[in-house]
Amino acid sequence: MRLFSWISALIVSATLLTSCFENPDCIGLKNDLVGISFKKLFDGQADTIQLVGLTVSGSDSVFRQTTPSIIVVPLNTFQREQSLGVKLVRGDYSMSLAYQVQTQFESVDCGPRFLFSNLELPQHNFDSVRVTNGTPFSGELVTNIEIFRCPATNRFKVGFRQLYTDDNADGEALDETFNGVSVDNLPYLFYPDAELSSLEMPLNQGSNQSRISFDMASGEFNTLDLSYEFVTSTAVGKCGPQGFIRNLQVINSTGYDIVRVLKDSLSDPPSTNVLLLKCPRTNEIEIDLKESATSVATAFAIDKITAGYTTEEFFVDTEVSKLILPLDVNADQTDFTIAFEGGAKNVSFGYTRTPVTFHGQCAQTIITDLTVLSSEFTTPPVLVEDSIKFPSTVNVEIIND
Amino acid sequence: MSRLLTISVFSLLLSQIALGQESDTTDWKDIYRPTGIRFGTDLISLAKIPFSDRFDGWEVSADVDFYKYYLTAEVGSWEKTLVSPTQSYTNSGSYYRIGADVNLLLKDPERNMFFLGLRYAHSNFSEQLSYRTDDPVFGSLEQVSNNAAMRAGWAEVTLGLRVKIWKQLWMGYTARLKVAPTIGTESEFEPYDIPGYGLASKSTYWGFNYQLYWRIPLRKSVLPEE
Repeated sequence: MRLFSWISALIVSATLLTSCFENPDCIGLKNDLVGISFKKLFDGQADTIQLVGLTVSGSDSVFRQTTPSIIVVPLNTFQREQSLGVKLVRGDYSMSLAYQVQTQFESVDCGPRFLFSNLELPQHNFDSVRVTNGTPFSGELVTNIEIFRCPATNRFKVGFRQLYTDDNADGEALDETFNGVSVDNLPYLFYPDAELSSLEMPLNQGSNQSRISFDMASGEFNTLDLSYEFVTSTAVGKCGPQGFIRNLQVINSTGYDIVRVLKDSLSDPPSTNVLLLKCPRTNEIEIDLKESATSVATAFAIDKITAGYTTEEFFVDTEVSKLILPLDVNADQTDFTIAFEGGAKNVSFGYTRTPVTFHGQCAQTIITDLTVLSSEFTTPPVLVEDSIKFPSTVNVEIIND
Repeated sequence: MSRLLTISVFSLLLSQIALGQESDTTDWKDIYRPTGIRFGTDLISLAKIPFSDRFDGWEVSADVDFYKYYLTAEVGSWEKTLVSPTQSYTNSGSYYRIGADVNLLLKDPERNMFFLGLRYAHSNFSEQLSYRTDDPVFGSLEQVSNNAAMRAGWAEVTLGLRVKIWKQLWMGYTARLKVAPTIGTESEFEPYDIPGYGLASKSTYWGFNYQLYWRIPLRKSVLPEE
């Protein structure tokens, strides 16, 4: 019986020990995310997309693009098929995702687990699609679906550059700030608060001409009118014959001094087709406002500044410590009236003008020998630099005492 | 581990059969005739009912001896109810086990048993999970998942004691190593708890029964000559 006692104790101990493993920590699995990667059919490389909107059936949530070529969408636990609307700059697309969900009861203390699997694509209108991993994920990003596109035949790229008073005929990249861009009646492209030195946009494939309107943050509208021809060819067999744009020409432009066509055919990915250049501004005087001769530049509330040679008003209702104002290139003197909140004061500048042509196309006027001819400020303005530079440097300090 | 144990038990059973050919003078036909049938019930299942609001069930068993071998059958039923504020799980079903035990104590005049055995077990059951999920994208939804008419089978290696307490009253226990559960029906709700087995997600499982038997004698016991 002693043997029986030992065996009994052993078995009871083993039973109690194994019972401890019946309640593991909650795992809470829910692998309901699908990673969708965008690629180019002709080279298999990642395709940078511009997502306008992404909708999934059963939800009114707005989904955002997390990486340039991958989007992640959640699956609905209580459906077995879900439609997906993908609105890209290049067009509207849709697809249906079919999948299986197995519910698992983890324990009474944990929520149910949902195991998603067998992802399929019963319907889509993309150029080419394949499922690379049929199991959705929950943690680290997994690419479940690859979407391929045919070559884009209408992607146009324009660059912005600033020329200087040096020998560099290409100038330097110019960061422009846009509200957006529109091309004929194609959807408006928003670029809120973005400083961009180049832009890509589709040309109108329904016509041999396109008007591009740059909606500048400053409120101006600059335009670029283009003409082109279509040549039909087959670049990728799976995509069939496509109309490629060739012989691109600039008909007209506004807002820029020089237009250069770098490449007269469109490619995918696009390379810069047209450069829009601005000439150096050689007539802009820079004035620092101060409270005293020894203080640093101080911001003053200004109602407006007017010049004698133009009806344009500058710095309207602005608080500013530095003024950059255009001098009259058609006269040897410019009179400014600076209207502060407490009253207006006049100041006149005299200078010597020398006509110069930069880079063969920029007919500019070099201004030197700058002097203060008269001033209504109590303390006479201090001349710091008597020639106008670009980019500007401080020419005059005005003490507004 | 479980495979090793299974092989060991089979080897032991075969060796017992071989060692059983002991004496030419023994009337083996008489020895292998059953001497009695035991009917019993699992006291642990019965004891759990009043103390647990999660479990309800019973199990009865019977065995009949063929010398040191015992043909065994067990039938049971269990229901489990697990409830939390956001979900509730219930299952109910019945199960049976059939198999054989080998008594390793041959010289005990009372035929008390320390045994090893094997079982095949089968369960028919249904289960239901009601739950609510709060999905940040698709909203909150209450859902019910059902598994109806489910079937499962598994194997068991058993080890235990049967001791004569008083006249025809026997007590004993059976420890079980349950292995290789297979579920015969595909479902979108993964089976959670198999009556007679336990958590379906576990490939091995321990079980324990403390049993009370009443033996009905059929004839006088005859032990082989040494």
